[in-house]
Amino acid sequence: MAEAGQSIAALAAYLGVKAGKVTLDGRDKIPVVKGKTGTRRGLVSIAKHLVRAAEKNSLLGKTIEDQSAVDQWLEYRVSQLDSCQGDKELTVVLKELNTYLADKVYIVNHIMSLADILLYYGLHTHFVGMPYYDKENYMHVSRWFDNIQHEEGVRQTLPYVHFLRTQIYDRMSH
Amino acid sequence: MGFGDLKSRTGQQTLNNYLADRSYIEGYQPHQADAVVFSALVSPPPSDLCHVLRWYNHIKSYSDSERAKFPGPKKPLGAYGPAVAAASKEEDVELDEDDLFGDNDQEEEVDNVRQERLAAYAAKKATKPGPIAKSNIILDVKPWDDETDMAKLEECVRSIVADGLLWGTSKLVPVGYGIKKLQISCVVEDDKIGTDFLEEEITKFEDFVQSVDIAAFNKI
Repeated sequence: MAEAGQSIAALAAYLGVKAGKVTLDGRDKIPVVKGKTGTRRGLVSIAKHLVRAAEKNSLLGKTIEDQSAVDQWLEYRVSQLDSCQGDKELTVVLKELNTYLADKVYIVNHIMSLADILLYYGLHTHFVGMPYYDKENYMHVSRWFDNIQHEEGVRQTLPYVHFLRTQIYDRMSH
Repeated sequence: MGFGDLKSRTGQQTLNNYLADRSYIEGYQPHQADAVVFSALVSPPPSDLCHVLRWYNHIKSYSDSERAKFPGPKKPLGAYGPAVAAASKEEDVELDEDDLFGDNDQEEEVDNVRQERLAAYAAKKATKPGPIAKSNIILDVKPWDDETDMAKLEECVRSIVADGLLWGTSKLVPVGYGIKKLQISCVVEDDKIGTDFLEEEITKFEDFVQSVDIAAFNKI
């Protein structure tokens, strides 16, 4: 997916570092960045490199447990979300995230991490065209998404996504 | 109006409802509001109120000294809650629905209080006509072509605000050749809103809307 390139650009702008030139390699369109310090392949390694370059290591998790959880979710973005083909597979991902986020404010622990940012960028294209009805069905994802897009500097040039909750029906049961 | 008594089940229920689409009491960052409401809860909320529990655990992850340093002015507990949030977002057209709903709520409450106080009228009130006649209308809004931005169209339709009009759920229904129509339901008070009004208002967005049809009309 071409979104990886956009995610990298937005992340670099948020962190205030230069991403360099991103090329998409091969049939799977794996993003590649060639820098002075070496060549990096794949969204996750490029993103983590950018975070380290910006010296914002807290985004990668403070404890070893958090770091591996963040890694796991970054992998999820690449292997599950980005590989979605069509609405059906996306529904599976959204349902999964919705259940996961039911009792959480941020993806990992109680603090924003790189996992939040990259999943936000990855989901953005899908959320833009989603009708209010669907957004309301994935209430927990929507709440998390709305919170992240209000985080200072994260949204960059991406359009703002509106959320609206219908109050006449009590949807608390799900 | 705030959440009511947060030690009671109803108060916690209100808070739960309020937090369903919010991560924090106010805004998108920890705020003094969170600290105030947090200290008002004496014990962890029951697990069936999942939204309160999530919020409670999140705020609990901060230490006491961190909580004391949350930004924002400290206000009394009653200053936070559904009605206050709705009032502060009055300018946001998107949220006007909340306003309408809030207003109705208040009206009903005032009504209740009045009923209780004017016991002398109780007998008369008992025979008064039932609730206001309302109808549930489902509208079909058709765009010009498959390139019309349906999200924008929906936003336009929902931006119509009138007394006695409440937008409900909507969905996109494919018509053919990639064209989708917007099917949106709304609840109207019969005395205040007519179908002519709705059609007229929606067709005003002539950039997006080709035609409007009434798909269903049910008296509630």
